[in-house]
Amino acid sequence: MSSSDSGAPPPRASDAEEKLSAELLASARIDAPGPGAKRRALQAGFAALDARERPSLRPILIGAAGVAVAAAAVFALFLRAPARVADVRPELPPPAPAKSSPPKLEAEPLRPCPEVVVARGNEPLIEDWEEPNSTVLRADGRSGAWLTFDDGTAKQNVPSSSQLEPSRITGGRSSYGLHLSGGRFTEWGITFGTDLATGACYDASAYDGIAFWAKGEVAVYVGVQVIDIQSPKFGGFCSGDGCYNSHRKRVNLSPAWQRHVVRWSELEQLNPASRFPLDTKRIRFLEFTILPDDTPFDVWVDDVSFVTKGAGVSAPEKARP
Amino acid sequence: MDRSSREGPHKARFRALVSAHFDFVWRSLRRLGVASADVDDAAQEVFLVLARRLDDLDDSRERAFLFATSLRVAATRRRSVRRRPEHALDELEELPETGLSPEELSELYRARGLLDQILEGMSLELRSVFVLAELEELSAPEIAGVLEIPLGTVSSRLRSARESWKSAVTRLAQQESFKGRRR
Repeated sequence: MSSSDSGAPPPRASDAEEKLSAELLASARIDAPGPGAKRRALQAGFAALDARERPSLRPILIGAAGVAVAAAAVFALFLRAPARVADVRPELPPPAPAKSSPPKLEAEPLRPCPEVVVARGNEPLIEDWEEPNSTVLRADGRSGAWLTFDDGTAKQNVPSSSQLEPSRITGGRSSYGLHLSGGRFTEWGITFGTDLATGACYDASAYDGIAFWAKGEVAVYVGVQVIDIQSPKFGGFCSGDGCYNSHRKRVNLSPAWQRHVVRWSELEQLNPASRFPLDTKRIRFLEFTILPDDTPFDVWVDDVSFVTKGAGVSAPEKARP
Repeated sequence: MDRSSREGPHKARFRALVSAHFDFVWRSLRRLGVASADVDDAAQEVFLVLARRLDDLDDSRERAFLFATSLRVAATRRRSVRRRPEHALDELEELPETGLSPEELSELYRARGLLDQILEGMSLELRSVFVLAELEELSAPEIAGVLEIPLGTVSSRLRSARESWKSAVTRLAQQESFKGRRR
């Protein structure tokens, strides 16, 4: 019942404000995690700790088995060429040159990544969008969210700086994929992509490149941002023209779904003034960029994965009927 | 053998930190602007970073580290424009038992939406201090410890945040009063 209904005098402005202020602050009491959220965080953290600790068990086991058994085990391991185990560690700076060595004219050594998540190379699928969220699949140490950014000179179907959620594919090769469309951009265009290890570098050297399915009538530049080209504002090391000069490759899409494979060795920086070799141990962001000349655009992307070492596809592969 | 012996020191420490701080991290992320549907994922992200950095972390800095990581994760995620309406019916159905009627619950959600709206108008620096003081009810020295900033900075930010809060509430109260007169 309102105060006017009851005949009581209306509350003073400050009373009403204080009451509203208290109500608003009290409404925060509904902020509480749902059931299972804590357990899921615990499990994810344990998995990360397991991945980190696993390598340290090997020498202990080998030592306990004795010299002869250890030799056999080492030999067996050599024959089996075991997969690398996921690891998280700080990147160490390169060793200082010996005092006696002659001075060399070399590029300044790279600053180490504060933290590196090392991929094992055995879980290549980055995203298939079959789960209804914008976060990247949690596999091989990966974490991050799919986002899009644009230069603001036109509109996309998803606003700039938004997280990207899956779109239903009708009559397509799977149920859900990523769909983006937009108008004519005139400055630098649009970029969408994902972090691979939130706040850390992702060492993807166990893989050989990126593969993805896509359709559209434009070209996209597919590539990666290493920490050295990201702004210090976001934990990167870039300055001047070197900022956001990504390593990438132009890929022409077609109106029908096709699989494309881009090897690390094919990526290059567009701005020649600040080029340096790609170090796949220092990746922060996987990106797809559409330059202004290729806008307006309407693209679909699905099943983005790393290319495993030794995989032999290079030409686009058409969708199976 | 107890659970901590079986798990080893890292997991036991991690479990203890999750147990002690998960709710604080979750609430902080929500109040720093992460959409309700994304908070579980964001909290998991914060604790994944914790798992990776566990060895580097001093016992006395655990809460500060978790809040600083929450700030970074929230800064990325709060830019997200949600594509389904906040506080949709399915979320209302997932609410913990509150003993409130559907009307009261709906009113509570409306107020929570307004709270978000006002907090959105603050910079992340002011918002952090305000959330810790007014919603987590931490003292100024505790906030200085969590944010690892001088006590004087806490006081000045809190003063600015409260001024910003007060003027936003005044505007809102005027709007509410205007709507009330039209009803």
